[in-house]
Amino acid sequence: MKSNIQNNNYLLEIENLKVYFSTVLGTAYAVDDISFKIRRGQAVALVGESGCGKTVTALSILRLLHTPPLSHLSGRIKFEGRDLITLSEEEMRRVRGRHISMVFQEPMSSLNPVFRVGDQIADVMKMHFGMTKEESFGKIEKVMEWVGITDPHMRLRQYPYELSGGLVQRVMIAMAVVCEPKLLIADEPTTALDVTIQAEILKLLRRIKHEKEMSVLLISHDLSVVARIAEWVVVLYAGKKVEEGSSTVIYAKPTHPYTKALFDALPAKSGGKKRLNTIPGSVPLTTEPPKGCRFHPRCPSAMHICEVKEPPWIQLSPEQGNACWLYAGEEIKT
Amino acid sequence: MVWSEFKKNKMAMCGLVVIFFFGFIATFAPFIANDVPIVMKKNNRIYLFPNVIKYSDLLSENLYANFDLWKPAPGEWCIKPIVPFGPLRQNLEVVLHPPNRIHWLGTDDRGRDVLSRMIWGARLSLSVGFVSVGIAVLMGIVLGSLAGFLGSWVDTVVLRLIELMLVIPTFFLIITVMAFLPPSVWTIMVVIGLTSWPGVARLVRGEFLRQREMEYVLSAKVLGLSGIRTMFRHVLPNALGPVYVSATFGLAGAILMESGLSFLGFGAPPPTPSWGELLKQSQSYVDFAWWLVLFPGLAIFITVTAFNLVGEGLRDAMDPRLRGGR
Repeated sequence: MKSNIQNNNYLLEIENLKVYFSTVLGTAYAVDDISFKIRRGQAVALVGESGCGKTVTALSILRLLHTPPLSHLSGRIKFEGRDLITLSEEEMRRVRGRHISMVFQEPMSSLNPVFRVGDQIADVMKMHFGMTKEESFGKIEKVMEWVGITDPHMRLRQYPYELSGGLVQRVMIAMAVVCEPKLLIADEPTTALDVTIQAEILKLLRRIKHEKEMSVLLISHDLSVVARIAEWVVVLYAGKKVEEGSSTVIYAKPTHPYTKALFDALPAKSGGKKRLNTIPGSVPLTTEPPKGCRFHPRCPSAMHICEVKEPPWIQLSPEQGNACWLYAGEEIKT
Repeated sequence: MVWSEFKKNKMAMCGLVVIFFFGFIATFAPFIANDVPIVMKKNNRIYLFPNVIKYSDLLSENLYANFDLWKPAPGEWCIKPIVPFGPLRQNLEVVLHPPNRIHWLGTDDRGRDVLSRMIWGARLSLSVGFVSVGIAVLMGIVLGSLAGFLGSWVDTVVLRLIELMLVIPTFFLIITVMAFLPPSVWTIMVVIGLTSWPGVARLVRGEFLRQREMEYVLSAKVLGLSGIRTMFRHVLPNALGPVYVSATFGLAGAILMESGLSFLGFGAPPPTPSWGELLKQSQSYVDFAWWLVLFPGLAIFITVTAFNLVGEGLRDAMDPRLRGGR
C-alpha cells in the first residue's frame, strides 16, 4: 500500500518489460527490457521505425498477446498499483475498455462491418456497465457529439461503410472513451487519414487529455504528430529503449544518434534540399539483434565499444536519458 | 449493398421471381388447387376456409371425402379454388386425358389432375429443400464455428468428419439409409440434411479462421469483450456471407436429390404428390402421355435453375472481386 501512495501520480509504470516470440527464424526479442512511466493526464509517445516494438508494447499492456507465438512475457506493468501481468484473463477483460482502451491505425477495419455503429458502442457499455441499448444510447450520443460527430442521432444508426474514414476514427475514439478509461492507447491513430483530418483527430486527442484527464499513450513514427500531443517521448529501436525525455528537451536537443537521425529525416530539417535525409539500412530483425548497441551498424558515430558491449542507461538530466556510449560518464549523480 | 448489386443481375432477379412464384403457389396450394371450397354456405351456415379448417359437422356428413360429388342444393353455394381438383382425388372417367379445358395439364392413370398434383408437389419439393438445407446449415455452422473457434483437436475431429462425409457418395448413402427407414417426407428431409452439411461446415470454419485475424476482432477484445462473445456475436455474422450462397445452391441440390429419390421409389411414399413421384408414375405411359413427363420435369428444371441463378447472383454480388465484370 505504501508504494501505492508514493507513486500515486504515476498511472502506469512499466518496468523491465520483456516480450519474446518464437518464430520460424528463432526467438524474436520484440521488446527487450523496456521501462517507462506515464503520469495521470500525461501523454507519452512511443517513437520508432516499424518493427521497433511499439505496438507489441501496447498489446502487452492490454495482455492481448497469446502463446503461441508469444514465448516469454516478464517484467512489471503496474497500472494503478496492480500488476497487469499477474491478472487472470477474466480480471484483465474487465480492465480492457473500462480502464485502458485502445484506438487502432486502420479505423475502417476496426469496426465490425455488419453492425450499426451505435450497437457496437452499446455492446461495450453492456459489457462493462450492464446497460441496455436504450439506456446507453443517450450517453453514447453525448460522447459522439463530444468527439465532434455532428448529428450523432443519425450516425448511431449507420453502418461503418456509410461513414468516411475520419468519421469512423471519431467513432472508434468515442467507443474507446465511452467508458471513460484512465488510459487511452492510440496506435498510429492518424496514419491512415489525410492531413486535414489528421489535424482534427490530433486536436481531439489533446482535448481528451485535457478535458477528460485521461492519460494517452501515443504510438507513432511521425515526430511531427508526437510534438503536437506528447509531453514525454520514449524512443525505441529494435526492442530497446534508446532515449527518453520530456518532449521539449528532446525536440530541442536530441542526444542519441538514432533520435538525431529521426529528426534529420523530417522534411523541415532537410532544408531546401531536394532529397530527404534518410537513415541508411533498416531495423534489424529482432531474431538476430546486433551485438552490443543494436543501432551500431547504422550509427554514423559508432565506436569500437558499441560493437561489443551493450550501452548502459545514462540519465543525463531528470528530463532526459539515453543508452549510448557517446555519453558515458556524463551521467548526473542522483 | 449486396442487394443493390444483386438487383443489377437480371438473370438472378428472374430466378428470384420464379422462386417467389413457386413459393407462393406452394404456400397457398389449398387455395389454388383443391376440390374443397374456399367459402361455402350449407345448412344455413357460412363455412369460411373449409379447405384449411376441418369443420366437425362437415366431417360428420363425410363431405371431405366426397367433395367432388357434392353439388350445392338450392340456397347453398360455394366458391371453389381456381383448380377445382384435389391432388389425391381419383376420377376413373377421365383417365389419361391430355391437357384440355377442364384439366389444364391433363390427368394421370387414375384420373387425377396433373396441375393440382404439381401445385401440391411444389409444396413438398420446396419444403424438403428448405428443411433439409436448414438442417445442413445449422449443423454446418455449429460444427464449422466450433472447429474454427476452438481449433486444436476439435478442429482435427471436425475436419476428419468432413472428409469422411465427402468421400462417401452421398446419393448412394441416402438410398441405402432410406431402404432401412420407414418412407416418409420427414426421413427424406433429415437424411438429406444430415448428409449435406460438410460443405457448409468447411466454409464456416474457413471464414472463422480468416475473420478472427481481422482488426475488428482485436478491437472488440481491446474494449473488453470476452472471447466467446466476440466470436459468436461479432465474427459469426461476418462469416455467414458464403453460407447464404452455399445454402442457395444447396436448395437446388436438395430439390434435385428429393426428385431423384422419389423417381427411384425411395422418396415420399405414394400417393403423396411430389415432382419426382409424378415423374415416376409417368414411366409406364411415357410413349404417349407426354404431359405426364413434360410438366413435372419442367417444374424441377425451372426451380433448380432458378435457385442456381439466384445463388450465382448472390455470390457475384457478395464478391467484390467479381464486381463490375459485366
